[in-house]
Amino acid sequence: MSTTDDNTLPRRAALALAAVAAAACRPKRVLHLDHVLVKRAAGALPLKDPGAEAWADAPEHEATLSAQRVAPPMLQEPGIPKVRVRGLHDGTWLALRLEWDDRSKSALYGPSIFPDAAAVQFPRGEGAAPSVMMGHPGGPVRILYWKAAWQTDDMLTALHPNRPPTHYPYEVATGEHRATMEREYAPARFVHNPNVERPNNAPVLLAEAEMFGSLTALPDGRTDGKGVHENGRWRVVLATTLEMLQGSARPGRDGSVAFAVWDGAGKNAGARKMRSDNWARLVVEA
Amino acid sequence: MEYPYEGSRPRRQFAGLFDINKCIACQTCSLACKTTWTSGRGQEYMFWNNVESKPRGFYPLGYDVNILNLLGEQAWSGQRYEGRTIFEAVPEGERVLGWRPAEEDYAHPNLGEDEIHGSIERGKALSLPQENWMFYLMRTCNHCTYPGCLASCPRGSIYKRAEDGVVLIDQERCRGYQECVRGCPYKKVYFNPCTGTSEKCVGCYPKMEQGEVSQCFAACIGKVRLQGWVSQPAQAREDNPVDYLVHVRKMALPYMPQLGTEPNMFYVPPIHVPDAFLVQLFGPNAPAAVRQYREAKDDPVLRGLFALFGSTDKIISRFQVANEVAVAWDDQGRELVRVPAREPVFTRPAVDRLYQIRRQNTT
Repeated sequence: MSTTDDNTLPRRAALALAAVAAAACRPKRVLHLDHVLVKRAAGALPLKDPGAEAWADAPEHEATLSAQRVAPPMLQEPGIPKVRVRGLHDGTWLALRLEWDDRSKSALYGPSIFPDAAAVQFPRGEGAAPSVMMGHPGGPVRILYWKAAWQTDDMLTALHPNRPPTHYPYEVATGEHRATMEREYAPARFVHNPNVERPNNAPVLLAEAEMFGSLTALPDGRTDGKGVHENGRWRVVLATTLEMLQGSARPGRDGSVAFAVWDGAGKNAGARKMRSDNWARLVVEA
Repeated sequence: MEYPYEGSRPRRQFAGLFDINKCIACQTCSLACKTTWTSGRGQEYMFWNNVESKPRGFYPLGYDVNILNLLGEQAWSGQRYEGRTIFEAVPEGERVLGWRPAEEDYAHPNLGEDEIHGSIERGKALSLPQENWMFYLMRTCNHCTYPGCLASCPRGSIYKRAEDGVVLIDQERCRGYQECVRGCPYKKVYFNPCTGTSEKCVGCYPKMEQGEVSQCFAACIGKVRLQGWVSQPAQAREDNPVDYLVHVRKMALPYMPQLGTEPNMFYVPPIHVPDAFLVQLFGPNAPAAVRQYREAKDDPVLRGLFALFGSTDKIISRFQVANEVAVAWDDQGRELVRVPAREPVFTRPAVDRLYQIRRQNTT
């Protein structure tokens, strides 16, 4: 029947269009891998853009975290239980994007005020992975460490927006006089503590450890990255060069990786953290 | 006593003596420290030295009552402490018994300043539930022999110098976890939000290395303080002013010794405070110390020693009182100062006949 046929064709076309449109609008199905696959990026790595479309091309790995309760001081109340991880590389830099749900953004330092933070851990070099608990003597690990506070420019104003202007003599001093005063009034700055100064002024630090409590910043560590808190979740890029990882992550080879997350609102800091119980397999695409 | 690290005493330990009875809370010591060490960004709230009004003054808020409450009731057997210290009463998963003040606990450097109440004439007074006494307590870091801060740091960023016992935070190694703030029962470690590290009293070690007393000692206008070296009880010397008051006479007492950190600042307790409170703060020797202090005016050695307080900017290693004169020497045997054991009193007539004016008694 021609009438029916006339009606059916446009209807079918409309249905087909609707189906295509619906497919386009539907969130992409997230492929969860049991390992971390670091894809080779087609273009430039979005090192400072945790929300870039390029991250969608990398499959996701969901890492389970548990409270550090091996060595005191321990995390008394569990914090962030899971972190979602995607990875990209370009043959020179390796970047991981960590994503976790956290309704409270904590980006400040203060007395009993702690920032949110995250870390990615790699064994240093090839061979059997050392202890997942920050390595062991003779079995070092390299750690990429991000703190939200390192993205806060003027901490004092952020903490106390209505504070009156204050004069700090050493900040207007010059030359040798300034160095002398800085030694007294800002000793951590004077000795270049990584909480104050990091290479490239990035909010990510590269450090090495051989056990709990031994984390030591690498002064020449090349790092990059950024964290963005939106819609009740953090998305944080932590990046360094493959060279800096000293063979533990090489294109076409398998390695290991582990994670840790600190919830500032829960007073997590240092050893009081949520961390991987075991190494996850790391695959860097050739 | 349990401690996370093996005991290792410094070659010698610097110490401070404080005569609480002479303090007027002018805060000159606090400001001397403040201008010397904590005038930087992020250090605004830090008072490495502070003077608070006891029993209701604190900095930070409630620091002493909180730790005593956490520790709970403990026992002394005579002069021997048989209770648990902050290193034995450790909750599971912690390194020491401690707590960390909130930011607002630092909002008032001397809440309760000069707060006192007693009946006034004819009973017309606002009634408050407290007794008719108070005193000023001057506080610096105690540079403890078993520091709670040092025991708390999971990174080993805190150390005690072998040459003088000063406890320092390695500003390169500290990562600002604030475990030391939590672990110091005296709350004498402060977190700097602008550097992300913790900071504390350094004992003015650059001055100490030159044989000079720390800024808060030098600046004390009330001559409340004396800086020296404290020995172990078995090695105590009668001619060492610190040993003499701490070990020989047992008049200068550590603050909250029951916490177990072996503090190295020693206080001559106030004479007008109920024994129960003094014992809680300074241990079981406090009432006897007060009795000795009341009689010090009749004791030539004590009279001379107290006259040496605040009499020199140098660290006193040795002293002697003879013929109503007190003499002090440094550790090289050089004489530092010589003072009369009894301060002379001058009486000036009310009218100055030379200038033809009447004098006002303003002090």
